[in-house]
Amino acid sequence: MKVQGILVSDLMKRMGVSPLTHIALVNGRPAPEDYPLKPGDVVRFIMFTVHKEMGGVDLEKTL
Amino acid sequence: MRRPCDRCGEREAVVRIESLGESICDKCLSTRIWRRVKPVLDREIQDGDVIASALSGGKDSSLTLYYLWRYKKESGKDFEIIAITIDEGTCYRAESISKAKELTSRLGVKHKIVKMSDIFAFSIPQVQVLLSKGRKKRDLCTYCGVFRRQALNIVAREEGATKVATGHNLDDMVQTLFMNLIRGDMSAMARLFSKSPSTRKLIPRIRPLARVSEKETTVQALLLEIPAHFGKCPLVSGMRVRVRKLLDDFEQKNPGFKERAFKSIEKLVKQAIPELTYHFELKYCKQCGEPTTQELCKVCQFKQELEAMIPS
Repeated sequence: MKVQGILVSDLMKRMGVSPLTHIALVNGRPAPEDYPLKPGDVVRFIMFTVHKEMGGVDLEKTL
Repeated sequence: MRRPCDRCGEREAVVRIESLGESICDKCLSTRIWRRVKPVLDREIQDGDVIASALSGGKDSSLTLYYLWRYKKESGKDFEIIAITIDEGTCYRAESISKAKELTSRLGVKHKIVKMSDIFAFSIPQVQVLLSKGRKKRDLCTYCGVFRRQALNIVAREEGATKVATGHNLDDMVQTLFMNLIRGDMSAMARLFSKSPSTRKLIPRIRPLARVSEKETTVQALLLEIPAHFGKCPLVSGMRVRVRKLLDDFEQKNPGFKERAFKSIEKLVKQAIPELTYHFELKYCKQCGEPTTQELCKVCQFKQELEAMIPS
């Protein structure tokens, strides 16, 4: 993906990742959403909170 | 340097704090968090205390243990720390327990790991199976939370702890407040802010991270390279998830909302505590003898529900 001149927040939008649930690691280090990316940067997202039920038994729906 | 800190201008920014409209560096973040954590520890920890640090192996409980350890080193106060892990028996817990062991060994802190099924005869996967077959209108997380809280109190008491430190962060606190508001449980709201009555059986709780957002605890744990499990419980369900999403959406549109809501509700509730806790009386469960506000504690109520679901 071309990243020259884009911010972490732009990449998050493009990839459908919310800053409310994820933080970005750029080259292994946490980076703010307004961090400018450059070619060659390696970006990883870490989910720190959950916004949807991941399983379990939601009986309110099944009753 | 491609994105300097908005505060000191000297180091590279690592996190965006929307409520401040600033992106700040590792040093400024560390100072900001410690300024919120230290006053809680100054106020709550005395010489001679034995602090049981509830350690799941996740980022928040691991960071809490780290701050207790740091405070012991820096404050000159004479207190002990013991880490307690309750193993609910989920597959997800295995990795977090291994991280918890790594952290306690690195910090040189005594670590006690107890299986939930050894205390209550039920593990969470067993509860999940029963719920999937029964027709109870209660989330799995409700059972897990109630069982874990009591297990923690029992183990902390057995270990001679005088206080239990948990990893609840600002997001957790605001979610709990709104969940209590939705349920109309004002007395539970009051109990969140009033000092828990210290009795022989109920170990008072402290929450060092109560004013630190989850985003900040995550970044801080990563920067400190604390061994912690960043995965999420695969069984998470229920009202908390919905409230969390609602509050996060609100926070996005109104940065700083959670902090302001927490402070405002705290102010209101604290003024009303005598009225809200007028009928509050700590009793002992007539079945198991554990502290409760009712005749039968929640664990015994839930155990009865679950036993009734076991096919004969």
